Amino acid sequence: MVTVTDNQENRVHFEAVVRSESGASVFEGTAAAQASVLERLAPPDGRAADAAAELQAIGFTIRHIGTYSVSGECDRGLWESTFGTVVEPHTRALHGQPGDEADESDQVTFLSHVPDVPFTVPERLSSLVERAYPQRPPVFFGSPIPPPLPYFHLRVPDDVALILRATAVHQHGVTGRGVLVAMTDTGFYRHPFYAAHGYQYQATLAPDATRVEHDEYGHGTAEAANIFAAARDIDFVGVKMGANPVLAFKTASDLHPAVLTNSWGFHLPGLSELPNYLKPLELAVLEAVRERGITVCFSAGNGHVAFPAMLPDVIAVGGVHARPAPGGTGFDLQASDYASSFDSLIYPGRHVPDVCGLVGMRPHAIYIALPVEPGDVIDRSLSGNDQTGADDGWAVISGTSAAAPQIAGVCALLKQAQPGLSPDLVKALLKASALDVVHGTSAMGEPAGEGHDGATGAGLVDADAAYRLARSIRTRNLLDLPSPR
Amino acid sequence: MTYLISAEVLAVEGRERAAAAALRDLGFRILHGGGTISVSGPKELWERTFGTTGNGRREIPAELAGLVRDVYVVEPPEFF
Repeated sequence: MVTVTDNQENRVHFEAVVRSESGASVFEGTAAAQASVLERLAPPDGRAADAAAELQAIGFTIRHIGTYSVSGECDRGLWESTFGTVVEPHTRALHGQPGDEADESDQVTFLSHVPDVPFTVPERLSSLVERAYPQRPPVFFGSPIPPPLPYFHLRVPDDVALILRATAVHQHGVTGRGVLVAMTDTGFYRHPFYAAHGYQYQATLAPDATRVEHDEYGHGTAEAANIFAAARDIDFVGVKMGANPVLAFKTASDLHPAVLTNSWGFHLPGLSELPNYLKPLELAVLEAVRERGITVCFSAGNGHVAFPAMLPDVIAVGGVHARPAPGGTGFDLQASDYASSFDSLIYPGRHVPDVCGLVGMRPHAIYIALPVEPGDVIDRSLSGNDQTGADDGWAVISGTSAAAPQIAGVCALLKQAQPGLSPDLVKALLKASALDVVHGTSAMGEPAGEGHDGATGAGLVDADAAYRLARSIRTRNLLDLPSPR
Repeated sequence: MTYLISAEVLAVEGRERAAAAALRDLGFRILHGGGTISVSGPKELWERTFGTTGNGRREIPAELAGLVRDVYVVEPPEFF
């Protein structure tokens, strides 16, 4: 057996079309199948099986006998000698959009007919088979719309925007327009979801990364959709990470985005000092926040004691789970038992999270339908759990990886309203306006409760309330007054 | 197949450009400057230059003396 990604330079995979009983042909014009009653194209009973038997007698391997055609394969030589024709190898990309240049690992080679070279169905097959064609691999592209699913889940952009109350901000004309948001992650595939919504979605490479048009894992492509849910008109740039996450972060920071979001980190349980190998990352994050004024969001972790989320300078984003309330009025909110909460031993006095976005519950946090590169690691590995296809370009996932970009989107709304907001002030506004969450416990078992609590920090971000605070603030001249930082 | 190791190099303050040049002369690929210098190089080059490929105790070679304070080999993060 082979997969669609295997190169086939000496093997023809074909469909042989069986002659119809009526004499009608599917090849009569481009719309023959649409214009004709399908019954007219149907072969008589047994003819497809007879065709398969005859093809098998010649030496072809038969894989399937259908109503209208027989599927099979054979060596290149047998194909050419049987039909008096010539085939030649072609190479092209499996993924991407027309015009994309693919590297070798994304290319597949297959055999197909040479134009204008004769092709003759031999006499022993002519009463059974009308024509036969080598088949070529398809291009994989996901639908811009997620598949229907038989369980409660959120969709982007509308559900996420509604629950975070970003929709209300959009109605004021504040949509993130003119605000650059960067993200570092596994890659940023040009999924049709992004083009269909008209999003300004761009990708670039960290200097040690390759294949800018692909996201082999799928994480970045998925999570970026959360940003647009909160801020649909941002200018987005995704930085694809190579072997060095610090390098990816620095590359993103060098673009001087207003907001930089990161859905990754390092698990440091029980440590009271930052390991040396993470100090360059600490430096890069501090430079971004303190010297470049970039609002930096990091995921709090999914049960992880996560760095850099524990850095006091960043916005550490945890998780709240929202479900429609019985009776259809609003949402029931509870702390996600999938999301982290902890006190940092490395930075005394620092509690994670600051605020929360939307995250699912244990065991798998299957919660938000997000676009991925068809057939990538997430698409394939989750299909058994989330009931989406293994190569349909959609996965239902969450974790605090989803929460951080959601809140990054809300930060972008605030930065549009008030470009001069400092990172600390953005964080203060989010915390001051968050929706209190009083039920549930975090992954670490900390309970939510009235006011600021261990599980959710200040609570679920309320974009509209944050915006109403932000629009009234007058940032002060540092020379005249103490900074609001 | 060449096994590449990525690292962040902390230069002596004010000697960042000289440190990057010296690392390049030794054969490392300089990927990015900034507060620390992002570099990568084959495993053999790391071993030859610093005597180790990990984050443990290492010797700063004479070519980098006075230019480099420390070297931190990076590790992949977890995606949440």
